This record gives sequence, C-alpha cells and structure tokens, in this order.
Amino acid sequence: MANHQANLYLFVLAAIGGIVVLGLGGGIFNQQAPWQLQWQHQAFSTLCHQNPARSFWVNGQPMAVCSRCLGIYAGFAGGWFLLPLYAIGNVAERWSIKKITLAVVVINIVDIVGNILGFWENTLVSRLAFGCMLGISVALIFSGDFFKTINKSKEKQYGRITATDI
Amino acid sequence: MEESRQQISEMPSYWNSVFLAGAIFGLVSAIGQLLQGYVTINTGEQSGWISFVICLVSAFGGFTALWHYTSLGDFSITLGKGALIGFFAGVAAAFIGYAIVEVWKFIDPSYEPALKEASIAIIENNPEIPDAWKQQMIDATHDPGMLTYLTTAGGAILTGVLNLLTGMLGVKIFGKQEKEF
Repeated sequence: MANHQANLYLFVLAAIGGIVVLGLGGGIFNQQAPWQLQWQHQAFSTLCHQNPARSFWVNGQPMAVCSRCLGIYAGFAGGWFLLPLYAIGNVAERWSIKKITLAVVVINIVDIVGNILGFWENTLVSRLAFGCMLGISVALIFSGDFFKTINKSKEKQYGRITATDI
Repeated sequence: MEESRQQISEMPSYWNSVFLAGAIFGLVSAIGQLLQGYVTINTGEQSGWISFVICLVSAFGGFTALWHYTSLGDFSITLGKGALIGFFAGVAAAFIGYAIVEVWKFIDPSYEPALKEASIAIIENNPEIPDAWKQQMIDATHDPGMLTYLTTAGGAILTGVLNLLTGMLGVKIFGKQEKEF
C-alpha cells in the first residue's frame, strides 16, 4: 500500500469512527442539556431528519441520527475497518460489489416507500439492519484499493511439461 | 514522461465542479429548510416528511461533483483527489445553503419571527419535554447566540467529511482510476 493511500485509509477510518460516535448523540456521554440543543444534534441537523420516534434512545435521549443513518455510518465504519480482510478473501474480484450495492440501495428505497404507502411498518431494528447493509456494501466497493489482494493461482496444471524434439 | 506531463497539464480545474455541486446541494438543503420552516409556521407542527425526503441528500454533493468533473475529459483521478473534491463540495454546499437561508430572511422579514413563535409554541405544548428543559429551549430559540455559528461551522465540517466519502465513491463509479504501483 502506497504511503498516501495508507494515510487516506487511516484518515477515513478515523473520520467515520468520529461520525459514528457523534451520531450516538449526547445521551451516551450523559450530557445534561436538552438534546435538541446539544451540538451533536445541531451538527447533523441538515443531514438527517432526526425524528426521535425513528431513532434509538440512550440514557433517556434520542441519538443524533435516525436508526437508518446510524446503520449506514456504523456499517460503513465496520466495512472500512475490515477492508484488509476483504483483500485476503479477494472479495473485489469474486463478487460484483457495485451490483450488490445497487441492489441494497433498491431494497432501502423499497423499504422506505412501502412504509410511507402503508404496505408495511418498518422498525428501528429493520431500518438499522438495512442501513448497515448499505454501509457495508459501499465500503466493499473500496476493497482492493488500499490493500493488495492475495492472488491464488487459478490455473490447474494440465499434463506435464515434456521435453520433445531434443 | 512527456506524455504524463501533458496529461497533468490538460487536467481541468475542479473548482467549477465543486461550486456547481455545492450550489445545487446548497439550494436543495436551503429549500428543504425553508419548506420545513413554512410548514412549521402554517401548521404548528414540524414536518416529518420533508426532512425525511432530504435525509442524507446533502451527502451526495461530492458524488455529483465527481460525476461532473470526470465528464470534463478523459483523464485518470486518484481516490485522494476525489476525496478532496468531495470535501470542498460538501463545505461549499453547507455554506451556500446557509447563505441562501440568510438571504431569504431579508426577502421575507416575517419568516424568522414567525418561525421562532411557532417553534416556541411547539416546545410549550409538547408534554414529552421536561419543564426544566422548556425554558432553556425557549431561551435558545429567542437568542441562539453562538449556537448558530457553531451549528453552521460544525455542520459544514461534518457535511464536508460525508461528501469526502461520496467523492471517493464518485471516483470508483465515474472515474478512470490511476493505478498504484
């Protein structure tokens, strides 16, 4: 891995880790100010709808992001952290990750639209799970970019090398 | 060597893409905020669906900037450069969105006082908010003070970082990536 690639990998890891911690909101730090005024809520106010009914609660306070956004961030953080393992498994070459990601995006959109139209009612956990799937699949797109894959020879040996016409 | 120099010199500036994506997503964000504000003023309730629709949309400025930038020519781009373009696009979107809302307050001077009044009514009538918090929230609504600047600066950095990620995603989707040797 080139040096600047290593720096980028570590920077993104730190950044997404920070975003997940911020997204947990003030409850996890037992902040005493009203949660609507906490800086974590303010910072995410243009990025997430922050509906308390659609967010997990910690210590009597809703998190700063909804459960789906939390899933996306946490899934991406987990997926990014595990990028070296994907390289060992050679995931990038084995799976069509962009198609998987597209499928997960469609699943999330169907889940949102179905819920709005009243076909079903999604839950905190289902939204977290679908968000996690999206975050992990997006992180998987970068497998092979930061760590060298271990290429096992796919060639089988047919026959043997023979010395002829000597 | 000569060829690679030529390729570098032919790479277009990314600032047009940054400001284009920043303007688009800043406008979308500002329209969302203003629509939400007017719904709150007119109905006395905070709109769930508008914010629901714009949820995470602001994170795609970087993605859009990369889409535009890579359409400017046939050149390769690194993940790091995509991340940088995405970050700038996100920060631009956050500040442009903030500026549009501020300009709107001059266009419609009744907007801000009406929104404050409606927000205070929502706080006062919400039984789920403890009484001890109500006065703090009302005070902060009346006079946000430094909170506005902290929110804008913090939101801009956070939006920038999320757009950094979608900028990298844009490189993977739209870009001809430079090979690392």
